[in-house]
Amino acid sequence: MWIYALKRCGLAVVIVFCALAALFALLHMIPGDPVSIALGPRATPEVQARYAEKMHLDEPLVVQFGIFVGNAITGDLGMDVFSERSVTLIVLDQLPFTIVLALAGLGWAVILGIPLGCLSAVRPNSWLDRVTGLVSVGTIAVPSFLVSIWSLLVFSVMLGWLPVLGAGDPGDLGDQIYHLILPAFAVGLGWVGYLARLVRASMLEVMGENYIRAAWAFGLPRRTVVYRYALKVAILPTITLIGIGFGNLLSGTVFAEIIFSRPGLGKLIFDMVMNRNFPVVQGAVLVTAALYVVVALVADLVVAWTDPRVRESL
Amino acid sequence: MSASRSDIAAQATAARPFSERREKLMLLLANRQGMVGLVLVLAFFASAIFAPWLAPYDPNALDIPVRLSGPTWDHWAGTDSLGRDQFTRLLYGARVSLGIGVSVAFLSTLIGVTVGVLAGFLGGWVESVLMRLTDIALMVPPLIFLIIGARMMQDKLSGGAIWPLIFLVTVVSWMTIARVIRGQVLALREREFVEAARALGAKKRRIIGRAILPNLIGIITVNLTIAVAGAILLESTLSFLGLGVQVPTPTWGNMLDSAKSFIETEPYLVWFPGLAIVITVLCVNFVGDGLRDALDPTQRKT
Repeated sequence: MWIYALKRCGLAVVIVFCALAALFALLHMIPGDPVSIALGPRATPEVQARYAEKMHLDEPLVVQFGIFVGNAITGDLGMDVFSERSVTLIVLDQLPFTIVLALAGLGWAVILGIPLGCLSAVRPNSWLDRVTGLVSVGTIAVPSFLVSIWSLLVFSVMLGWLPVLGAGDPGDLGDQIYHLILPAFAVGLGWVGYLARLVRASMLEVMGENYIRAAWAFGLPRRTVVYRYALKVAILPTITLIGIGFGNLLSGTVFAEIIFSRPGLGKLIFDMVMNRNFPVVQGAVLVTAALYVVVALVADLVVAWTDPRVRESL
Repeated sequence: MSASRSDIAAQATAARPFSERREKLMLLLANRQGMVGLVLVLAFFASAIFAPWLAPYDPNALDIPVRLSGPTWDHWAGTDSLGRDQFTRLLYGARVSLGIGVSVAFLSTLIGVTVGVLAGFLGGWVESVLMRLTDIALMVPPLIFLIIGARMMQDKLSGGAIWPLIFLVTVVSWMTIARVIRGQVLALREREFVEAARALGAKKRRIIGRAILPNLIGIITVNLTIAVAGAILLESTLSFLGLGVQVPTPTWGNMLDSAKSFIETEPYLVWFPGLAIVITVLCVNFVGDGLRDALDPTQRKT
């Protein structure tokens, strides 16, 4: 178990490093002089020289990469070109919004997806099963920006149930939650279908196992058999999926953030790419990638820890 | 459904005992969902190709007096904020969306199949290099790559060029098929007929061309179809963010982008382009599933 955990951690570090190198290469493939791109064509030579020195742009690329990695390990992601604020602080300001949104989106997916999948497995070919099947196929075809727009249109504009824009009053928790419901739904909807399908398949498999037949034979109530014995085992593969899902949701929140005008990492990356403020992009993407890898790692370890079959095969 | 399908398959084999191709065709025709999808997809392609003849208006003709008119007899899907006919723009938008979708699907399948076949067949260092490359490419979050890439090629895009989009979407789309194909080739490589070809002294190129590739046709067709749907989604997403095809060229994505500002008063502007995307992607996926059931018994749904 410990060796497995160590191995997975090592792999995670390698992945983050590769992602970092790829990103660095991508951002430095921009044609043209990075100094004039950042400062605009009208900056004086003195300003340009000062900037180049401060951002280490006069060093060879490999050295720049080394400096960036070294600083990143100590938690320093560099300096914003325009506002001269620390990138670490800027990213940390936005991070909680994205994490909360992704978690809430995942919450919707779990609240809707697991019961749907479970019920449709208990009663295959019922109308509920058909609806679930339709939902899982349908959500793949609807791109997530469209889910955001349409849910905004239906629930905020047409029905008027939920607020349209923003993240709510910063001091008022109730208002913030109220503003969170719809964006979270838009973010999580795509995963309802995935979760439901996975839980359904895995439940159907588990329901055929001998120990479940034994439980029926003992005359245990339906609820006990389904929820206490079958679901407990059937839920395991979904933990891995939720781990991957959460990582994807972190970058998938960008549409909900743009369309509902919420602050967050996705919106930060998008705005900063549009402004060509690449130091901030670099920092924000690094944090996203690191989170992604950490979440996937945690999910794998949780599975290894909860499932004795996986644990013993290690 | 399954009973009738196997009946038809049985009839097909009974009539012509050895025609596998005929059996596959019958299986495809018997798939109701797939056929409905196919008919609609063909209709979409036809209307995209014949848009200049079908469209009632000029896609860029401004008609300010009837701006934001809502669906009427004159303008079936309403008009936008500049009085342009939305139905016309939907038709022209189909040209761009489907065009990009098909180009990306072909290119990414070409790259994916090449990588997969080379890696699977040659093995050794070629395989390690190609598959590590695939792994790394899979790690890059597609959306972030697309946003950064499209921003970098902005000057070309605002000149009206479409190829940067095709290029960028292809870069994030070829990996899955490469992996699938490699897996298939690894299995095929060990089969007797490949062994026989090798024993007869066939050159590598001939073995790939005559023994391996024909056995991959089914899986390639299925993935090609599904790749079209994925590419349409990515293109519309980028165009929606203002980073894809630039106005005034209409695409479903940038129509939604400009409709966003009128969401409270003119919801029809948001419904129609969105429905166009969803219906197209659904139909393409139905066709893909139908093809998979007919051509690729290993992945057949239960």
